[in-house]
Amino acid sequence: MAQTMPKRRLEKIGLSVTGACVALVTLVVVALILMVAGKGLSAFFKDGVNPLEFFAGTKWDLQNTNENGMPYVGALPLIVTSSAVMVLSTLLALPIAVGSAIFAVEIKPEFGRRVFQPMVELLVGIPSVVFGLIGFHVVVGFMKTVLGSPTGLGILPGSIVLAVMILPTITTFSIDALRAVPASYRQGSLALGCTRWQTIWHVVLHAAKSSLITATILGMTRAFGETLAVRMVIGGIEVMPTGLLDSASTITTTLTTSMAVYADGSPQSDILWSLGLLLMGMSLVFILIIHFVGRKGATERG
Amino acid sequence: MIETLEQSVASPALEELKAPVLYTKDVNVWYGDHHALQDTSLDFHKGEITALIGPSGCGKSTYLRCLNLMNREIQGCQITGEIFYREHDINTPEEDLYELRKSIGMVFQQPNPFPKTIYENIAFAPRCHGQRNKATLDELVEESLRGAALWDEVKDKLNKSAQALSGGQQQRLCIARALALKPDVILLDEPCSALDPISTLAIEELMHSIAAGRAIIIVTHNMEQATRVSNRTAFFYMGEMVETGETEQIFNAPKSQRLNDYLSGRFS
Amino acid sequence: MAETTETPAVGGPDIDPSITSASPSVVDPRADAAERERLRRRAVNQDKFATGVLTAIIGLVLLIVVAMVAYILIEGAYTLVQPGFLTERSRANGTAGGVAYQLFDSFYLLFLTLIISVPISLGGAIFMVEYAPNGPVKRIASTAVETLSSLPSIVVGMFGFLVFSVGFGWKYSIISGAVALTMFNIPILVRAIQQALEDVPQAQRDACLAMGLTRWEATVHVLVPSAMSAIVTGVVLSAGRVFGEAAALLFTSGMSSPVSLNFLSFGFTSPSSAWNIFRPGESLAVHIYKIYGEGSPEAQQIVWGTAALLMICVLIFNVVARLAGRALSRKVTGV
Repeated sequence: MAQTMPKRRLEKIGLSVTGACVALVTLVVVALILMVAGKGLSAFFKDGVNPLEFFAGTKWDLQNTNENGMPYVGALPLIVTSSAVMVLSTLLALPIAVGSAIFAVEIKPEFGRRVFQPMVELLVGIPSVVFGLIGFHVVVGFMKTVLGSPTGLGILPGSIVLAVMILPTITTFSIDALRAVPASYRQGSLALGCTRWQTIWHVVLHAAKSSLITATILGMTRAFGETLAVRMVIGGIEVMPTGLLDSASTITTTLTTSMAVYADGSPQSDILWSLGLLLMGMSLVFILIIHFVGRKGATERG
Repeated sequence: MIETLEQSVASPALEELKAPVLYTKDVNVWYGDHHALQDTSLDFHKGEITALIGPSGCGKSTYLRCLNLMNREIQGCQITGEIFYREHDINTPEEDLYELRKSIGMVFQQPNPFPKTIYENIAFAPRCHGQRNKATLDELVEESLRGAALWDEVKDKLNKSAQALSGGQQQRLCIARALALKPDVILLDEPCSALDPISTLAIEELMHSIAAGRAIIIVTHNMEQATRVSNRTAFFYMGEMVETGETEQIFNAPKSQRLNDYLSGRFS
Repeated sequence: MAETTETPAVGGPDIDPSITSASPSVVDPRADAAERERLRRRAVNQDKFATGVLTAIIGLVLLIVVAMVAYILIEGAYTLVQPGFLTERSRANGTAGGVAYQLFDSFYLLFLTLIISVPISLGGAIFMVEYAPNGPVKRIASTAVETLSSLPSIVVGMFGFLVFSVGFGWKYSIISGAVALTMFNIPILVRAIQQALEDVPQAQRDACLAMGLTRWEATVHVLVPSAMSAIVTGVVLSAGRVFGEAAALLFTSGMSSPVSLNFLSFGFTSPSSAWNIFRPGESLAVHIYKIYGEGSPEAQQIVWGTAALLMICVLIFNVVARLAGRALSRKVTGV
């Protein structure tokens, strides 16, 4: 049937069908952004929450209300915890990820492609609840017995679990970044008598710098947005963290536990949407940074 | 087998032979701001093989890709001027590109058979153009493969992958694929540059046989090849068509200084 | 590599002055030779040390992967082989019995998700690669896809909850969950299919167009078949991700299955029909999250059994993705 149709019409149909798919996806994303933004901002405009209290207040308690009948909505403890977990897990994962990427690309490329990469991809596929479960038993257990923490829950176990989760993300993108460095750079350096390590350190890493930064930011994005695995090892108490081994709660874990509790349209639900908006805003900022780094890298390369 | 092919194109009357099947008037091509081709006017007749020669980047391939408007597929590419095919200007937005490209075949530099069987490589396009009859398709496949002097080599493995063929066979398959649409113009863009000398020879011989009743236009960087296969030659240099004429005259008595320099190897 | 480490480090001006410890002023050739020898030793030792450290790091990573997988499988093996674990429904809010419904719901969710997301992603990717390779539409669409991919899945879950569960009145239902998972899956799939199509040589497109075929015909008959093995690999790998996703499901498909499901009832609206897409459902991953904190030994065994089951499914997806991709590419190229 399609073959007998005039070609131009066929082409138009193809264009419209595939274009509709793109339009649908774009529309959904725009709708998502607008709705999350609308919902998230209504806490400030409709319920009269002071943004200053939201960003700087240190008391988060949705169950009890203050003299004005409003819940306590100081989200600073959650923001601090989320950031701490993100930074700490990145610091833990980054050297391991980049180190293993170097090994897999520069030192044993065959082993890297055949053995190491499939292994790392396997790690990507492990569901986050399984990470959380292992964290809950192994990492938390370790905190209890070795470090003598009473509950074993907190920012440190959360960061360790997250570090393992973002490790494959950073590693995979780093491997791609290093592979993209032209072999001629390495040969040029080796031909000048530099050792392999000097070549890696001064030439390869330098050339792959902007892609490595992108890889790191992608890992941080994942760490910031990860929910259940963190929820299972962090404790879930919404107070300002005072140490790495005290129960705390991130933005995402607070959403998990509270979202379904409050009726849609209540101040509590609205303020939770503000947290959602904050998460979304952060991931948009990360995208912008990635684009900025990418463009800068591109201009540097010329 | 050549006879069967010739029957398919209406046997040309004498006056038709004189009138070019395809000609261009003042064709210019821009890639963005880059003026890649200037004011090129050439005629192509059925039964003739025209070689387009010149150093790399001279615009010969660009010109070839105007003749079936393949340049339209490149973003930022703009073609001006008139391109007459069967006595009407095809360089208009209304032109039916699909009908046009059906009757102007093209063969590329790298053999590019589809990752399909040999049979499907040939039958696929006619089927898309509306030919659904299995028996007719079978006939067409045989006829086209014979036309490309490939039938005897592949008749027992029509259902094998085309990508298992050798480079020369693949290129002849690409020619057969073009023949299957019964074109009256065939454009060849350096068809032998990726092939070994023996395969090259086979393709050159093939060109003479498919030229009957068709205009053949071949871009080549190999000047010996141009003298071996073509009747007419056009020399391009820096986006300009410098000189055109009988092949013999072009190579033995060039009129322009630039062509003379090119032939004597002052630049390449 | 050995011979390069033995060569003296003469260094080059283009690389980095610090390699040769900034010795451009060569005055005394003998003193310079001694200095060079010292530098060479240091460079070689550095190289050996760095290689050692990197080897240790990669060993650690491999150890983590192997240990994790082995730990889950060993902890869960006992439960997995218990009769009824895979065939019985759960009792006492999941702390007893089997995980038959959860297993079914996981696959049902996955099936529905792929049914919705594969065509949309395929269409979107074809549009971006074949129809609008450089236009502004592609830039907008890529940005949209990128945004969707970077959103935390909990945000996608909240959006699904707001729009599908509350807005459309679907409540906690399989279909709500599947649509939320679709949003989570589309960016992964679009990227994979886009990459697969971009990897098809341009010559294939040119050949089609030069024969007077439309882009649509070229795509359907040549480009998609050529890219099929990579597309299938991408789809199966994304299926593994979808299968283990839980955060987007908490507020959309819910955290419990109906008490009893009838697999033989094809009344798609009946609340007890297994195939009813408007009933709540609970995936294996959500099940783990629901009961991981339960203290009873039986509940713990179920948690580990479920985790092992999930792990095995993901492993199977991984293997299938590789095998299917390889088999298809052999079939397409015929070699």
